[in-house]
Amino acid sequence: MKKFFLLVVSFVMVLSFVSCGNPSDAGIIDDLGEEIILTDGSPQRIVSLTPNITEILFYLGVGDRVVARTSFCNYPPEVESIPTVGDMMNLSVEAILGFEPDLVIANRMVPMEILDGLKGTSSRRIVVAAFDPNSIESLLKTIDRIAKICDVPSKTEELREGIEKITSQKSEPVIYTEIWGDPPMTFGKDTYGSDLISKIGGINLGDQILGDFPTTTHESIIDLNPDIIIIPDPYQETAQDIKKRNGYGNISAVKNDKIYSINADLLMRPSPRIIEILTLLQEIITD
Amino acid sequence: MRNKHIFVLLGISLLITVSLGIVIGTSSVGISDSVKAFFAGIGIGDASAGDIAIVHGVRIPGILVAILAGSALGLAGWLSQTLFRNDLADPYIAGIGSGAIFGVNITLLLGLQLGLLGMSAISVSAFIGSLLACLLIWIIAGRTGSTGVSLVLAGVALSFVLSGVNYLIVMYGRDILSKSVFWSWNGLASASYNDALILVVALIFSISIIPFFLNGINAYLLGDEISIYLGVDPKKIRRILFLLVALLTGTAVATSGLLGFVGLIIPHISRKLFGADSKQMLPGSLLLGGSVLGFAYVFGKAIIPHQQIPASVVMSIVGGIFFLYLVIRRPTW
Repeated sequence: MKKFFLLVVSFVMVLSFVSCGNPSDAGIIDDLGEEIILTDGSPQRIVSLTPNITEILFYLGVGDRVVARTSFCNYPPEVESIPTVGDMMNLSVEAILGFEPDLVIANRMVPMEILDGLKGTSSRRIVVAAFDPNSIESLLKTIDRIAKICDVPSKTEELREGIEKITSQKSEPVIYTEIWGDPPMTFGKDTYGSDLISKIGGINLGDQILGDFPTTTHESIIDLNPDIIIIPDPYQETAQDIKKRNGYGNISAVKNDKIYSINADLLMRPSPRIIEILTLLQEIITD
Repeated sequence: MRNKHIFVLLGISLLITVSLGIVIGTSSVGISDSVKAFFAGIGIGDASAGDIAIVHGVRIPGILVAILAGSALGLAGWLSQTLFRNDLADPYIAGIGSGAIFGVNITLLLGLQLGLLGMSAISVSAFIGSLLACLLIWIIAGRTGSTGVSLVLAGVALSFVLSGVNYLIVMYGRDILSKSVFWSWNGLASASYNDALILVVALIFSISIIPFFLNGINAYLLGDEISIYLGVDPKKIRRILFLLVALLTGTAVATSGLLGFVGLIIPHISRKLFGADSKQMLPGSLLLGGSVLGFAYVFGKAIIPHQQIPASVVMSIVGGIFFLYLVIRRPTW
């Protein structure tokens, strides 16, 4: 009985230690709603499972701690020398564990089995976090949180200053950004791309369509009549191909020759290159 | 006599479907504006240029391709059920679906520029992929005398092999998954007059050939032995049927993606409505296939603003439930 009592007391004590945690880490909650608790100091071996996180890590000056990346991670150029663990479609827990990470950062696209597997299988404790910024503000908060996890200054102040300088256009042109053409697909309301467009004073055509990355119809694009069409670069169709589509001749963007090709990574990837993409969009909108 | 009435009704329902396809869409262009735009497009009256572009550039080719693809698949469904002498057969049984997806995946993976006759690279590769799958099955099954059973087995086996290979391509090819899935479910999204024309050619070719073999097909349905006894070479009929199924399904796949279930359900309903005689099944599966898929296409446009629920999805859900109802009501099926 006494032994059992001791066991209970020690168990409660252990529990209370765990829940206290390290006061300096308090309040880092990732986008899966889980608190990130660092017991072994700031992580030194990081596996990044999404391209924007890789960019953020390099921006924060901890690129040298990244031991593995996905094959989609292509920026900054230094990443080329970092080994890859495949990509979203062919990740395996074993391959990731092989890099002996103490921190794995993912997003919600990464299958839960992989994230759970990483937390559960290793004898060493691996911190697993997932971030999915879907707006300018949540991007900055993500950078702040990752800086906190890595125990480095967050450098978001200079980004905020840069963003402040971007002015928005008064004319409010409707902008259609095509992710894929058959069926036409764009980004919807609560996305990073939509937020970028509203920041420069445009109206994202996709805001009127249900879903984060909705498919729509050629008919609705003709009807919603965008003033500007943006296509990703590289893309399987050229501006000429788009002009030639049935019924597209009546769209303002086609009539006024306002079809632009933009580096798809900049537009789709919430990353510290935000000033670059905002400046590009601003140039397009005032062109 | 009774059949004549039903055919007239089907003809009328086809016309209604076309009209609905013209006035119903995903955009804010309403019924009266659509009618005005339709007539303005053929030189009667006036309408805004945008409305004309929507009606004549998007809605009309869309509904035409949906109806023609439905007819092609209805016909192909009947022909494949005849070929295999099995009411559970559908045109995709011969590995055509996975062959088409394989073609599309390879094209996306290698970035091949296969555009031909105004068709996109994806359409052309789907067509080539489905025909290659058919050819392969024919060659494999031919080694065992190309009986119905050997064709089905070869088709099923090839489907598995290609599905596995398709997954491998998707695993390693960037962005291929979403593109090929969207194409296969929503192939009607970019329907054009050119697609309609290609379907018309395939349909006219098939419809003009089949009447020469209608008696042969009726004899073939009674079994190889009886068919030989009646002076009809079953191998010849099988060859023709297989060729036509491959052509019709391949064309439908290339112009409108994978539209499952049409080829299975249409011949069943047609058989119930008109009887199993080939003379009735030919026009029956054509008209019924066109109306049903056309209606599914229009229905899918009317639900969520600015978005189209693919006809294949409507067919699977609504068509599936309807089919279950038929099965329950008429257990003799």
